[in-house]
Amino acid sequence: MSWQSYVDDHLMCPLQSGHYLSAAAIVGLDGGVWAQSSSFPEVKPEEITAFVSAFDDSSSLAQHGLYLGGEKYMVIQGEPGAVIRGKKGTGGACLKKTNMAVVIGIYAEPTAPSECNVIVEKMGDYLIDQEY
Amino acid sequence: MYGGDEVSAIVLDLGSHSCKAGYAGEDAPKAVLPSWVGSIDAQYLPPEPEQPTKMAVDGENNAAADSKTGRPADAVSKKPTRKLYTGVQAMGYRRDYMEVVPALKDGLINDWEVVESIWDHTLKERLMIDPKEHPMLLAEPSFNTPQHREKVVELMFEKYQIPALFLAKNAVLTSFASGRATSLVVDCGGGSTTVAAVHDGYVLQKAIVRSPIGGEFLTDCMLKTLESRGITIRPRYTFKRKEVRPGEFELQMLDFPNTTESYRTYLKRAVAADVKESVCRVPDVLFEESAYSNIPTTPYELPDGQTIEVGADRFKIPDLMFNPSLVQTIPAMESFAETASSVRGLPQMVIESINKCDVDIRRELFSSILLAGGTAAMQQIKERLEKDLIEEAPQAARVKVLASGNAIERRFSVWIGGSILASLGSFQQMWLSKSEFEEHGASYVHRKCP
Repeated sequence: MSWQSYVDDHLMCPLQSGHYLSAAAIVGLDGGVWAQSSSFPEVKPEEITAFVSAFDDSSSLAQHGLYLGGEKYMVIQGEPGAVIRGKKGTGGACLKKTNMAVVIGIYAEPTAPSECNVIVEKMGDYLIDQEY
Repeated sequence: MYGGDEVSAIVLDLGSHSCKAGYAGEDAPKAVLPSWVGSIDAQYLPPEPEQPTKMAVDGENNAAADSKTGRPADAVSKKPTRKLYTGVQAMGYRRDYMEVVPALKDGLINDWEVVESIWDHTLKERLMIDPKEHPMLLAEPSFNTPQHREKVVELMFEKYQIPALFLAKNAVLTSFASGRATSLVVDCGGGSTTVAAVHDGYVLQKAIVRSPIGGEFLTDCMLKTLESRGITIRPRYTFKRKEVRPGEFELQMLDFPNTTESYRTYLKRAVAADVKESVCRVPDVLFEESAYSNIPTTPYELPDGQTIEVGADRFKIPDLMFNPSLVQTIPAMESFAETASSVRGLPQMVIESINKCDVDIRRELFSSILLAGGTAAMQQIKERLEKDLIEEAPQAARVKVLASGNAIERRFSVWIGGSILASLGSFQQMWLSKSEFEEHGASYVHRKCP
């Protein structure tokens, strides 16, 4: 199975409520994009470096915001070292770190934040189990 | 997904000082009880009769209750090591060898057995509901640990068999109580003071600042100060008071040698807390002993009939929140003096928290500082905080401190926020249901209730 199908079939799939994520991607910790949905914003390399290093220390991200393709997200409470959550208006983003990559999900109304957390973190846990 | 609209949800806020519980949609909690319980070690208890649960008086329950309560089998087979007495009435009655133990320590749950006995008492004796029928919204400290969250979820679903649950952060609920999604919440509670920034209904990362100075600390300072002035505070159980002639009373001291030190202290603190709540007032400017030496005193009548006069202390004790180093001048509080040097005053905590937040929302946070919690019911605290912040904040910031005019609303702001949230139609899809718990386990709560 290619990485693209992980994104298309397991992240961009209908959620419990019937709504969808608006965009999703899997990005390597080294900055390479493994796969992304067509709707995923074009993330700049420095944006990737910023959020990857924020898993270790989030204070800079907390003060200056999480950027994905130039869009700014406020950083709300996540799980230190594992999950970063961002909020932008009624939508937001969830980033889950695995051994080698970061799984990213972006949602907007009417998708609930918890649905995005669930699907992104489930994927992340699966990849960690598979030693990715 | 759980459709929680049909039956009213229960909102439960367990704080360091008291536990607040009631129905969602109401404007104040139905039950408020201490987060402390009385505990008698098994070695001092008379041999248990065959059916202890039948004999239980209101408010008493056995630490290792019977299997009806759904405890795991291993707990049932264990001999109870202590008996717990929960609730205002059960604790108001003096018992030999009864120690007083807190449920929380440093703002987090410390003794799960005590917590269970408080929840049992709250749900069964006070609200008189069957927990199986009601979804439960629990307030949690903004700095709660993942382990604590999972344990709460397991207890609620496995022991109480509740149909659905949601965990919400104290700061978020306070923010909702005042109808704002974004604010800086200053929660002056019983055990500690917490400053946290809330954006769009979520606590911001890194923006939580805490200090151990809360209502209980101020009560201790009040007690120590009064004692250092030669005043003896006598708990009600230590004497009988008879009217010998109209208007003239005679005290008869009683002696109960087996009363524990912790129980005596608990009752003395209750008196000191009332003195504090009745006479204290935050001074307009930084407290200085010399400036207040000629201040008129305020009388207060203690339970045993002696009237005390409180002078400068009624300003000095609340000022500890703004100026923690003042603790060095309070006798017998030296143990705290070392930690005090690292503790910052309320205005500094606010500025520190805002400076850790995103640059784009700092302006908005400065103009919506919410003051809440039981200790925030202190007179003049809002005015003083606003004044100090205007002096310390950046020039461009427009500082606005908001607090409900009503002391009840300040004290119960977290609970009221929970009551509002749990009765919103759009919230009903957020519940973590029992079936989801059974399928995914307790760690699911971090995703459903981030």
